[in-house]
Amino acid sequence: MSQLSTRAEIIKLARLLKLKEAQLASLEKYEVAQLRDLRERMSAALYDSSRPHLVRVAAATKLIPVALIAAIGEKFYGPLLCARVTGLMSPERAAEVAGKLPATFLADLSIELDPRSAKEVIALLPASLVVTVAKEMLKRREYITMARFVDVLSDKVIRAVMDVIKDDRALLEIAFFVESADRLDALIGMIPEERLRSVIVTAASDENNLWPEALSMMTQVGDKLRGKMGDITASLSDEQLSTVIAAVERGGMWGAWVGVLSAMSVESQRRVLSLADVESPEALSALATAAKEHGLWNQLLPLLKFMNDAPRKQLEDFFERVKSTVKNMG
Amino acid sequence: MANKQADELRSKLKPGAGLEFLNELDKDSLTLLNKGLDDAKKTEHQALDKAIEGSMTMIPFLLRGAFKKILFP
Repeated sequence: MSQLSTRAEIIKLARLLKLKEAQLASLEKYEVAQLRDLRERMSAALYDSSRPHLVRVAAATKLIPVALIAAIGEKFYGPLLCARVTGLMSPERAAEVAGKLPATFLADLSIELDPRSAKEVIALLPASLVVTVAKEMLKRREYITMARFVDVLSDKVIRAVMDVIKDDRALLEIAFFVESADRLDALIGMIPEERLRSVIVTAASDENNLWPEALSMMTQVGDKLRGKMGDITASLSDEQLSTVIAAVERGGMWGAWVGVLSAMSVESQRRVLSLADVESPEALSALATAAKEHGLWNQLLPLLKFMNDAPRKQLEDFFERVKSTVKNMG
Repeated sequence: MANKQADELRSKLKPGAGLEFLNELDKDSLTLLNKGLDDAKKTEHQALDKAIEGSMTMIPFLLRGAFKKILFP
């Protein structure tokens, strides 16, 4: 998958252990799921070691007013310990405390917080407060942190936050880092078509080099949304579409591309497959190999009819050769 | 040696499947992860002790006894 998702996991692990990202460079070759598993278990180990003390701190907060808890939290406990205590307080009281803290502190706290441990607190926060903190995080380009909150925020609050994200690149990066496929589907489903088009155009422009992220996102959503995003991609100008194909080729992402192609409308498939860039012998060979490796032949075969004679023949010959090899082996 | 360090790291984490890839990591990476986790725990405990001590100065005098009873049972 993308180097960016691996990097995101390494950043999160480095933050947890107070290390520099570069110190964990040896982990780059591992799967995102393996790194996430390691990070989550290390996070749990850290939390468990302080838990007995944190439970007592949370209990003691019941004795003092909310404003004093906020003042003490900001002055003595800092973002990390406040994040740890948050999930141990009553959600109502924790939400009240959040209302007394400055947005900059809440942004720091959010970086340290495991949103799943404070779901009920987050659900009680007013949308206006979440938007204020989101603006602070946008300023800091804290897209990884923002993405973690997509899993626990309501659709209504997510819509309010999306309204303040004016930068397509930021929106794309946040969406890319969302961990739950269901929530990603919901998030993208909330993006109006014009904005989605704008995000895809941004990803497709060469200088941003964000197509791997956009394509990775498309592969994680359901067929309907994948088809919608695929159709938008197919409607890009020849120049933009050529940039997309070049990025697919550069990143060796033909398998993902076949998945998107197969979800597009017939008109879109015809347009993309008749494009000269897809029909170069090198691209065709890569496309056929990816289809074979990913078991996507059945999806690609019906699309061949949209290709011009020569490239279609090349692919058909390729399939015939593989078929007879398989037959001879059997 | 690296395997021993991988086992040491696994022993500090929740048991369960996965994390076999730790066996492939070199000695330096495993040392870093083991030490990183130990140091983070230590730092967090120290910060918590300091925060509890500091926060006492802001607790109203009349509540300090009750506060201490909860924090230091």
